[in-house]
Amino acid sequence: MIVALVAVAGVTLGTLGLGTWGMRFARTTSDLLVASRLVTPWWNAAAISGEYLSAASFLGIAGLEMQIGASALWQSLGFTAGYLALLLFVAAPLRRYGSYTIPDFAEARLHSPTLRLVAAAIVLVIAGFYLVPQLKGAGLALNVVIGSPYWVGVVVVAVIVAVNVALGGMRGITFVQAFQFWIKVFAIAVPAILLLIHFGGLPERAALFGRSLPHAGSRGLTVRLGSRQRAQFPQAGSFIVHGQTVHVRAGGWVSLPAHTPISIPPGGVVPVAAGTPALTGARWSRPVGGTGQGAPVLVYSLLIATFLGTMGLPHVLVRFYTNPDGYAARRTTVRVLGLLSLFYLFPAIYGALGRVLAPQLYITGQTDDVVLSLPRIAWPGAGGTILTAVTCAGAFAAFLSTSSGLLVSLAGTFSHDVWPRLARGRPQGASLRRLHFRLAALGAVVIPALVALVAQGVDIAILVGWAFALAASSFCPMFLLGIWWTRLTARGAAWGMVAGMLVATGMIFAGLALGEPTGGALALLEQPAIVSVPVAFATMIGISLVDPLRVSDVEQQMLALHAPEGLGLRLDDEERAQLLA
Amino acid sequence: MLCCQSVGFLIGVVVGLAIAASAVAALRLLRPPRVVSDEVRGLQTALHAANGMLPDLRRGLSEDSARKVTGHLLTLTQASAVALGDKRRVLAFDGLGHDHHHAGDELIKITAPAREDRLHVESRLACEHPDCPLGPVIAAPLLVAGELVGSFVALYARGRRITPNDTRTAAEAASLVSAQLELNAMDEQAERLARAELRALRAQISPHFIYNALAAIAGYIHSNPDEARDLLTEFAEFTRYAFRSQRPYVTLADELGYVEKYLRLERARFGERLQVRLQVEPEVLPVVVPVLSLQPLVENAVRHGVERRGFGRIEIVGRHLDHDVELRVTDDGVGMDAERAATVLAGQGGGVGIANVQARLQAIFGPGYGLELRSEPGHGTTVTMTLPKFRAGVRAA
Amino acid sequence: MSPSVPGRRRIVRRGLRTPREELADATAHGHVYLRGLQRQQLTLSLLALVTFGAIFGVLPLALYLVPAFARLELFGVPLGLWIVVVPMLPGFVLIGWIYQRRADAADEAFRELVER
Repeated sequence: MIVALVAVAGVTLGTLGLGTWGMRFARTTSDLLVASRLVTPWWNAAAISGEYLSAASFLGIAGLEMQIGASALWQSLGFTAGYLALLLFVAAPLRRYGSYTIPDFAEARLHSPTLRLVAAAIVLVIAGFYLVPQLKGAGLALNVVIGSPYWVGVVVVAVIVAVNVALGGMRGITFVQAFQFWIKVFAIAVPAILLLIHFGGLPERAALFGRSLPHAGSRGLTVRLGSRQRAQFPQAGSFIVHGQTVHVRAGGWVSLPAHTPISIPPGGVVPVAAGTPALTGARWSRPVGGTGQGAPVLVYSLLIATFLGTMGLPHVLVRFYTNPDGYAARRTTVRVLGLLSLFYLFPAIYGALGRVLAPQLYITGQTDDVVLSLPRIAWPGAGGTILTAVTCAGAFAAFLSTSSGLLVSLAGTFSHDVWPRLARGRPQGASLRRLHFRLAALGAVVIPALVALVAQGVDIAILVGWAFALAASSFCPMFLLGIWWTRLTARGAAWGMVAGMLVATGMIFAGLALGEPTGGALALLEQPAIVSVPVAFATMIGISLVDPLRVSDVEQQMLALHAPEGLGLRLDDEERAQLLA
Repeated sequence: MLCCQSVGFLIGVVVGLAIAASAVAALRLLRPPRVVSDEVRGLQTALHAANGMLPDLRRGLSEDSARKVTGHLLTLTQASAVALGDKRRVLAFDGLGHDHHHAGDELIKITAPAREDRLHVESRLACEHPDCPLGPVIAAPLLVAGELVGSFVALYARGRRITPNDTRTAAEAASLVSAQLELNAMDEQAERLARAELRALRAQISPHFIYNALAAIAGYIHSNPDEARDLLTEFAEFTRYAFRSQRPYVTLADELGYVEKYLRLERARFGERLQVRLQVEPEVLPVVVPVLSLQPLVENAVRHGVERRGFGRIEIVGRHLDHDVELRVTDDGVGMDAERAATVLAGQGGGVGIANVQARLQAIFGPGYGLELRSEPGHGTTVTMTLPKFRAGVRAA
Repeated sequence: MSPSVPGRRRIVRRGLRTPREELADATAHGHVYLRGLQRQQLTLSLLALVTFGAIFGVLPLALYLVPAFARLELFGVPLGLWIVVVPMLPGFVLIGWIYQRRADAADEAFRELVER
């Protein structure tokens, strides 16, 4: 996999280099013409999309689709629809307000330094939760590229990102992030299109779209496992290990040994690793099914989390600051909708093809690999190798940009919001703040990396879903009510966010503690938004209504949020005449 | 089977309702905004009239200001005629009967003056003119800080009966006038302050620079009149920015535009001997800064780095560092020793402009932000300005 | 320090008040204008939300309750898949675009109103 390694190294070095030399993008001239250099909505939209498209979008959706079928596609809809919510209710007012981070907004809008601290703590939790799947994706990707153990990829990317952020690279330069977006689109679209051309359309219709269970191809299938693996035969079948053929009845469990070739005879049904559903028939092709993650209540919960959670992602929101005004913020968001819609057409193709062409991923259970390994498995030879190199490079672009953005948010929140509160009153110079930022960047990556090491078994899409659920149950109500409701108070906002966070995290951890969700109400523990978001809203509204401590200058606040730019700034003729006189 | 049918029916209803709701909303979204209704238009006219009075009334109650607002009051109250008076005399009169009612008349000729705490209503005004078309009168008090300063009088055509709405409207109009008069008292205070500030602002654009710039422009008038005209326009825009005193904060994009104009004027003097390099990341342009915070640094660099030698090179670099923004202005001039550098920021020994900027920045953003000055004799000077990307209450107007 | 520390500055030119100041002074007047704008913008947002939310919100339920979607096919691909992906993504862009134009127009109308 030299080709893939070169591609990944190229993208990584290119990204680091662009970050370091990104200053060159700021044009050097003696005639400045500042106005023309404001970032245009298209650049901004590409940068926001570049920061946003993470491992979940690049790998997770396709991986989940292999398992649960059409219901995984709700994710791509939700991830896009989130920007519609942002556009309708948040983008322009927030830009007009001028705040840079979420804690900035919380403190200024409600005049509460305590609320700033609460918001900062939530930023740390959400960004930390979101970092875990990025690092998990990196572990998987490096495994595909050079066959290294899972933990190596996690550690390598964590170190690269942390050191780079600490050294001041990846400062979230708009042009670099915009470039990253196009790398990702290229890396996911071109292999998909070439594969479809290679196969002359959709191949082997029998297994496609879940009409039958995943089967080995006409030449059989041989896999080597990295570790011993329990797997289940969904239908009666057989496999060959150490030259012996083992027959298994339908639904029978087997324990597959590691480091030895395991063969499935041609056309034989493929065993499925524990914890990896392989749905068939109508259950696969129905976007909403009766049970599992396709259950209607879970679909709604996911849609609520993604629709309302996008506006609360700390690393995405800071990007809106680069818009010159509220009008530009709206324009940018519409373009983001377009760019994301373009991107999200492609992951679905990998999931559907992977089910037919890469059934071995069901045996290993690593369906999150499908975007990376599909080209290589489906198209043996140079073509597949090069295309796998392309998708691996795109995946690395996704990890690097998203995890850098998240780490910058983490470190910035720590050095800017948390540390000054701990070091009460002592004024901090710019250089001291930089130092704290660097140290925080190095320190903040540790816990997410450790969690990523133990979370190998959890699907990327699920992990990212949690980050969205947390954002939807904390920052979303604060933004919606803070922008549109004059009666919100600091205490209401604080308790609402805390309540939403507690319910959401409590449900997630309860779900983890109880193990595999068995369906019914317990399944909701995996998608808490449908419960936690209403709780957060209700708490916020209720406490604000009984809170006697109202915000004193709410008219001024509403003015700052909603008044269009440039009011009263137009120089009238009289003024001009006076000045020229 | 019946069950299935009813479920199907229910689904049909739900989906149908959803599609209908969506379609209705889409139509309303697509429809151009409705033409303003009569009531709204009436309200707008009233608001517009009220708005029109504000600037004049804020100059206090005089014959001049009263004359300008009576027309608006007429629109606002829908009376046949209105008058404004001080405690004794009529200051202005507008509407029916203005042929024989004039400013300067005794108020008592129309009506008894209003008292502090109540409206005065008469069914027939005290006019002795035989053809006076006016009948009922409402006089409402004008109060500043609780004290009677004058009356607002609404007059109606003879034979019309005064309704509760009329008295209510007159009272509201009077209190609107009163409120603005009250603000006038505060305005006077504020205006004195503003004049002092303007003096200070003028001091910030150094007379030295103005003299040099105008001399350079004058030099072009014969050799290159077009250039001279352009420069003069730049100069006007330059001063306009400095005088825009109701805008304490601007975006860095605006401030850089101002620096640009300034440098263009300096280029008129130095030509190619002044080299400028500007590297600003677009991400820093939306940052909000106090007006005239970067320009003094650049001017200082020109004065100390370029002017003495007659040539030089200036570099302006803007970078964003997570929550902060850093702006550096560097010259390659004679520089200064560390001792002197320390005193410059404190405002002793030259560099008043810089000390002023430092004081303003720290007053606004706190001691963690502001300027840092590094210099070595013979190796030029670098001034670094650090600003937060957001500070509550600091907004570009 | 000079007296030019930024704070609220009054205009120096005689008496002319900019509409921005009218709003900034939070007069009853400014209040009327601002609330009008806020309500108008919120109405626009809610209309856009209903336009797509009614369809989007009922879609999972419809797909769940009508199993026929799984059996029907279009070009070999189950109809449910088509319905989830194809009309929705362009729909978001379209609604976003219409909303953006309406909201910008409302802001512009407001500016004209207060600068009258």
